Amino acid sequence: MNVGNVTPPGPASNVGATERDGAGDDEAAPLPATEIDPRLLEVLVCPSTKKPLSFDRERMELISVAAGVAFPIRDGVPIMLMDEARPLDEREIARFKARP
Amino acid sequence: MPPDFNDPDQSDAAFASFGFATVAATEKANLVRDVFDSVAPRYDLMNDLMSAGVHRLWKSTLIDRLAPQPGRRLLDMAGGTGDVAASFLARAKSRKGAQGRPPASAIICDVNDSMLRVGKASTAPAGAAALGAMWVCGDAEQTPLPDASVDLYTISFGIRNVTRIEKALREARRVLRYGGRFLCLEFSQPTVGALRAAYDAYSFNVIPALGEFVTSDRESYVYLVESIRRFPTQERFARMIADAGFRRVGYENLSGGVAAIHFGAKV
Repeated sequence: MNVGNVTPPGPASNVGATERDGAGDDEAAPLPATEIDPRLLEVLVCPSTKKPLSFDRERMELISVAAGVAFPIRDGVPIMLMDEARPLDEREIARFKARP
Repeated sequence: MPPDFNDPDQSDAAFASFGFATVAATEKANLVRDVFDSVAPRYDLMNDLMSAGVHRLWKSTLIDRLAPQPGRRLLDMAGGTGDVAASFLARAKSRKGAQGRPPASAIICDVNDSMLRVGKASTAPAGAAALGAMWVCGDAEQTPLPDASVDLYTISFGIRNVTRIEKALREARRVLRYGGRFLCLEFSQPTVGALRAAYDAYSFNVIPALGEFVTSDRESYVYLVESIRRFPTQERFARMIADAGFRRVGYENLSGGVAAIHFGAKV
């Protein structure tokens, strides 16, 4: 697992990253339309650096510290395009770097 | 003199083809995105009308060649509304002995999130959303997946729209596991002279008119037809795939070369 849980799941979030992993489920359980598929959180990397990402659940962004950008998640679809990514400011980079 | 876009040596040229027009390479991605944003809601219908349903037969042949199995992971690049991924998942599930084995999985990646949105919101019981596909917006030239993370890579009617095809092919090889296979379904060059003439007449006259009628967007379909003509021949594209490092490269013509499936393996 290469995704740091940046924001502790709040009371509104009911999908944990382990909820649908493994267990030999033949049929994926339906997800709320705006929720990101936890299997994607496991596998996605930064398109530019190919380094792991962190999930910022609060802002619904995937953070690439290596590239210094945040990728938006819209309607549950991560937008992994460099030209649609938001540049991180130095304070944010420091904060995400401090995470284990 | 405009650069030859089919020439692999000019892959990093500052210009790219957009249909028959020549545009700055940085612009092509945006122009292609506009085309698909414009036609997204009626894309599947339009494909049916344009090819009289034949594109479904071509895609069915592609699924045959994929030989879907439980436990395999597919990346369908330029996967749009997810029809190829849906067939892959359904076929893997219906295999003998699929019960009790880990299921196949499919990641649908497309540079156009408007196309993904249409597929993801679909409630069709045989659609990719209902079958549990994953949806991600990403670029074939900068694929957001780790090295050696998928077993199969498909791209159907998508490679033609990529700005730097060589770069996309290298990325395809990177994300494949050793033993994994690349399969590309794309319009190609008809191999029979008489067919070519009829096909030219049809595509330059009928398709733009049909596009205008169904999607009110003639220009996007003019682009479509022109971009097909600009695409490398079967042999030349096969060489590009080999140059990207694939082995056991080959192709299979469909409907007399109107389309072709190119393939290669990472070994």
